[in-house]
Amino acid sequence: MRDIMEAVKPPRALFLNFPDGHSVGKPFDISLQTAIIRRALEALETITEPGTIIDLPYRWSDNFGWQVRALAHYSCLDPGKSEIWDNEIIDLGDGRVHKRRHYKPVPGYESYPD
Amino acid sequence: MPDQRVEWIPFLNEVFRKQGIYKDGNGYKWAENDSAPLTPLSKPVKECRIALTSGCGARLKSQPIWEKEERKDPGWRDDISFREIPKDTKFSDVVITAATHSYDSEMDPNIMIPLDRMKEMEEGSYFRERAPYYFTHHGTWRRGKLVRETVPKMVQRFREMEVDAVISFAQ
Repeated sequence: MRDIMEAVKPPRALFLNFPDGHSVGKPFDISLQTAIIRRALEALETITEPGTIIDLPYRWSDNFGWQVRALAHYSCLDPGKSEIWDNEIIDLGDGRVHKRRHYKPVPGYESYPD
Repeated sequence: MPDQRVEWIPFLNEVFRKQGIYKDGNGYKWAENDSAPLTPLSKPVKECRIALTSGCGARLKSQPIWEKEERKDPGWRDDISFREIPKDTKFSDVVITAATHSYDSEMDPNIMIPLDRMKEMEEGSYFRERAPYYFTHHGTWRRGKLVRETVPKMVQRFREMEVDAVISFAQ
């Protein structure tokens, strides 16, 4: 989402090249989560040029297959399907399940001023 | 291996075109700003009260649901309201409803709204203290309404809480 960030131009920004929904790092990786927040706190003081984006050095994995999956998720190859593109059921154990819905990315506004 | 990034704007523009959403050919009007307002900190971070916002759609189980949440309707993206989460809230009292909520954030919601990390970092004196409430919302395409209606309310609350700086986590 870095190109979106560049277009929006927030006052100060850090870019973390991780999958959606992982803006503070990896689950249970306390040191990484803390490092990301610490970098954000540092940026409050060190960024003086408006619109500056700092690229964080952390890698999600050794390969970029997760990006391919993200693109496939948003591609919705069958436009004839409903907005809820797919449901993924993940068994968490202990009798719990997590249902992840894959949606079409349909903008909600109807007019530009909105 | 060098870092590899997705160019989301052209990719999503093509997705929208294939879906026939913008038949007039003008496409989605991405926010493009020529400048950014930046207010320098008035004091070191270690002396600051820090607030946090997250687009994870978290709410307390006791709080009103998001618009259309009950019907599992993705139209909740149009909900421009926000919720106030007390800083010491336990995750067992929270529901996360963002579309990007995943198995990972089900296991550890700190990756979307770092309640535990912020508490630890306050205790570690990375900053003076946490704001009493964090704000959560849904990422939305209705940025015009968000700027006109939601953001002023958030700013008013930040001032009431005497916040020095805000960290916003997009999802």
